[in-house]
Amino acid sequence: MAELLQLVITGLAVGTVYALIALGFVVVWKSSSVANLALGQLVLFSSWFTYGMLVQAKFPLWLAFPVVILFALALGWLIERLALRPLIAQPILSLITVTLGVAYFIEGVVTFIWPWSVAALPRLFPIEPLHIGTAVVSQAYIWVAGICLIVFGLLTLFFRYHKMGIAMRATADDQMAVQACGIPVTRIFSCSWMFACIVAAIGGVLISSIGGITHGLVETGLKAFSVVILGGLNSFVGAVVAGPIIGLAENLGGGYLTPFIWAGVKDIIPFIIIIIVMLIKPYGLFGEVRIERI
Amino acid sequence: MAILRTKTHWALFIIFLALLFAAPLYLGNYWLGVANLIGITLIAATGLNILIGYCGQLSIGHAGFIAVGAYTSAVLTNRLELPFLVGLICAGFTAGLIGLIFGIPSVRVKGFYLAITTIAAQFIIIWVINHWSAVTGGFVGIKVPYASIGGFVFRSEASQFYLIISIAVLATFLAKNLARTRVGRAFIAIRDNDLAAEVMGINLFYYKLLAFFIGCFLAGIAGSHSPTGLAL
Repeated sequence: MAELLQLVITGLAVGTVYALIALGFVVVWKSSSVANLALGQLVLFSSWFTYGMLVQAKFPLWLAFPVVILFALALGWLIERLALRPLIAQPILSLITVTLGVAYFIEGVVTFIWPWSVAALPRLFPIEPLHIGTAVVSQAYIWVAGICLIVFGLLTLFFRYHKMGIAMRATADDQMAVQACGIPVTRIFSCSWMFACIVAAIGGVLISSIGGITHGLVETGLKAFSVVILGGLNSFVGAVVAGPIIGLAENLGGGYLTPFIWAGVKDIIPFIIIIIVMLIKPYGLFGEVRIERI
Repeated sequence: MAILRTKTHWALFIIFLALLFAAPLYLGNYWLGVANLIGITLIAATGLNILIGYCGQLSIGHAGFIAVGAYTSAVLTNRLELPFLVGLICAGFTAGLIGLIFGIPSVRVKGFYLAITTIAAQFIIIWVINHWSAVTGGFVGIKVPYASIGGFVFRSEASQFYLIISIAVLATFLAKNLARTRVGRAFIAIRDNDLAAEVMGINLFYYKLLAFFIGCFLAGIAGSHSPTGLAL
């Protein structure tokens, strides 16, 4: 029983981080119909950059985090400007392939600048374990989940009240109407990419504070895909709901199925969920069904 | 419409083939190695071209199918001591079957969703390969003996070059020919507008799965030429 509770809590916590990263994907998809396949590598790059700031350049915490946010903004702007702006009206396959190319490019750059395969961030959260009921949970998980929920709240406020947030929602709804209103759509694309990079950065820092910086961060980005697929590509609510579900499934599956199948089942569960979702309900829980007109 | 129509086509083609097959005479060992890699990639890419280019099924997980071919061939030639050609054909069929299984979602989803499904398929395949240590040697891999046909062992880069290039030329010819047949035209119809194709009477289920099978069959053949069990 204790084990179940522990798995549930850690699963939900990690799941909220997946949901955060998935939000970045959904924003880019909704506003410009571009599938950001570079998500995992963005998470990786931001985490390594945080490591560089905190450990190599020895910035204090209060200085490092704004720098990381600025870095994520710059990265998002660069990617959108250099890789995606020239391809605005091209078929969707070209755009997906370009993000794939950007992904591998970033991976190469990361290996070039930081040639180590693992690294640890300095301790960001207190480590005494909490006792919730009968479960013993490291405090880091609770902090991570809490920070994610705060970020969700901030994002909701941003999208509801801030001018740029409203503009992004409008572009996601109907690009042509937005252009008719005089809002430069290319600026909205830039903003959505910058936003995706920021949430990837925050998500990356949170995950690496739990598990260290390894190449597994790329897989975390891919698990964000499964969150997006489960929740529906078009839906913010879907991403937020599906994230904890995937985190839960991953942890429970890993905890209970490992004796039966080979170890490491945990890694593969999100992908199996993708295939199952594709076969049963391709548009996900909350996605809007694409009605194909001839 | 024949592939080679005019006399100029034929002449250029024969000259090209002659230059290609005479390559070991003027290329050094290193470049032959590069040419071998090019040949292997060419076979796999031809398969992918049939899948994405002709049939329009976005599949980005091809590396997984190449790995299936490589490991099938490795297991058959190493563990079971079967001849290389048997390993080659079986690698093709195994990869084709696995492609068939992972191609089933293509009947329900299209475009980007199918691409994500194939990415998931690639990760599942590679995970299974890495963890099924009993058969595939897990993360360590399998040592693959040199290819040999009827007693002749392909040990040098030049001999491997001939083997790979012949298969590559054959695969390209097969793919080009496929486009002219009924099957190829069905693929192109599906790519252009699959609802219209279905209305015309093309069985989408059959042809989409066939495209996956052929594409992954070629990927398996390409994979069986890859060297010792690497994690792709």
